[in-house]
Amino acid sequence: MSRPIIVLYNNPADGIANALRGRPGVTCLHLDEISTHWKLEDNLPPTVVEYPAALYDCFSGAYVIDRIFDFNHSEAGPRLHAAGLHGLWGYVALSPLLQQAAVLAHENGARGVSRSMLPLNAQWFSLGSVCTDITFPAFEFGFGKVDPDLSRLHDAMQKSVWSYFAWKTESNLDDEERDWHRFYVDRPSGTPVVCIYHRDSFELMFPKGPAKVDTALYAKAAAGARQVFASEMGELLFYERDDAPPMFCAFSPYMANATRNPAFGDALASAGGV
Amino acid sequence: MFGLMIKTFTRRILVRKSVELSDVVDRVPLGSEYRPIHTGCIRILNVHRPEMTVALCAEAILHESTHSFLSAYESIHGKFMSSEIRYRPVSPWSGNYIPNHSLAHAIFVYYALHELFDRAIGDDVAMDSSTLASVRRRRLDVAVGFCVDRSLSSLFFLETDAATGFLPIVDRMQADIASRYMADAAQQRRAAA
Repeated sequence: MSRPIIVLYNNPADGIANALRGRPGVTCLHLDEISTHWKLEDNLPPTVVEYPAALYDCFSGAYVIDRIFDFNHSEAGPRLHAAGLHGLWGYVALSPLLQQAAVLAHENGARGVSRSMLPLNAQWFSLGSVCTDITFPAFEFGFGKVDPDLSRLHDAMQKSVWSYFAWKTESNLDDEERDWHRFYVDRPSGTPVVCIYHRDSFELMFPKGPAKVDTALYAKAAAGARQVFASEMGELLFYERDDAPPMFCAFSPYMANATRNPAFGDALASAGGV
Repeated sequence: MFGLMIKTFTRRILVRKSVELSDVVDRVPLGSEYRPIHTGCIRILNVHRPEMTVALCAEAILHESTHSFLSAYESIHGKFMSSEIRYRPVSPWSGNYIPNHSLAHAIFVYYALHELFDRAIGDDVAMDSSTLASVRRRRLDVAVGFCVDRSLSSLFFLETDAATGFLPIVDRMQADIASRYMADAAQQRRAAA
């Protein structure tokens, strides 16, 4: 019997919510439908929230695809801010509902706290702990305003540790990252390959043309990513190079490539709740 | 207990001044710091300004004195973990990526601060209503980092092992604080993460 699917989202343009909305067995819930139950007053932590029984029932035993990667596009963030509460309380408040899930697509939590959204080099450290037959970009990390020694890098580019799929030019550096704890990587060469996985299935995309790949290695990487990034689905960006193991650059839970293909929604709806 | 720790491990407080009492500024810099190379010495900025309330000053003294205590402990028993900075965990409190060793200290510091705020509120320390509200708010700011859905010990990215017994202590501190805010089921889920 297929499990119901709950998609919890905040961005109206969320690719997964839009791909699954209206399908049988799928309920799409906007964050505001949840956060309206948070009582943010008198210095009470939102952990005292009491959700309606029907909401618990909705999450109970479901495959929950939690897409709350931030609190944009919702009243949750402004309400927490207005109450003077740390934004993490929002994730803590979601926890009692997410615990009802039979399967949770991503780990609950803010960027960097959730394993599903780690800084880049932390991703390399994590995947490297379970996949020893792939390589990772060389990098140097400054400390404070002190620039690192870049002599070891051949084609250094400054990157944001939070920018997962921009590797030719970095347009996501904010002022703080540009000037503080500067992070540099060796710009990868070769042919990009995007490995899109959902649970134990995966497919490969070749955005810049075909490349020779070892599919067994990608299967292993996808299984490793599922474990270390606590994510039932994700996209892995690799670069394939001649006579060298593939280089893993980033994991992303956003599924931006997958959701461009309408067939992905079909596959997710049919396989997701099993 | 805190008084004894502060008196024993903080032997000198350097008071620094960056603005005059009479200066009109948009925001008075209030801060404190501790340098591991100056064990037993802490620094507090602009204590002469009214913006540095008693509550803020108490927090600063305990915060830095906890670092001082931890550094003294590490100087005898060895460091909790390597000071390597290539892989940096994200602090749940600040959202910044910081060295593993800094996060190790931060967890102890926030645990101590939560105890300070808890006792100040619970013991009915004489405070006006606005001070009481701000102490309660600070307690929540501190508590939230312990209430995340994963164990704090799993946040570290360690290339070499932490000191024996260190990571379980971190999780015990987390369990202690989280138990005051969360249902048992949430804690069990986190312990398994």
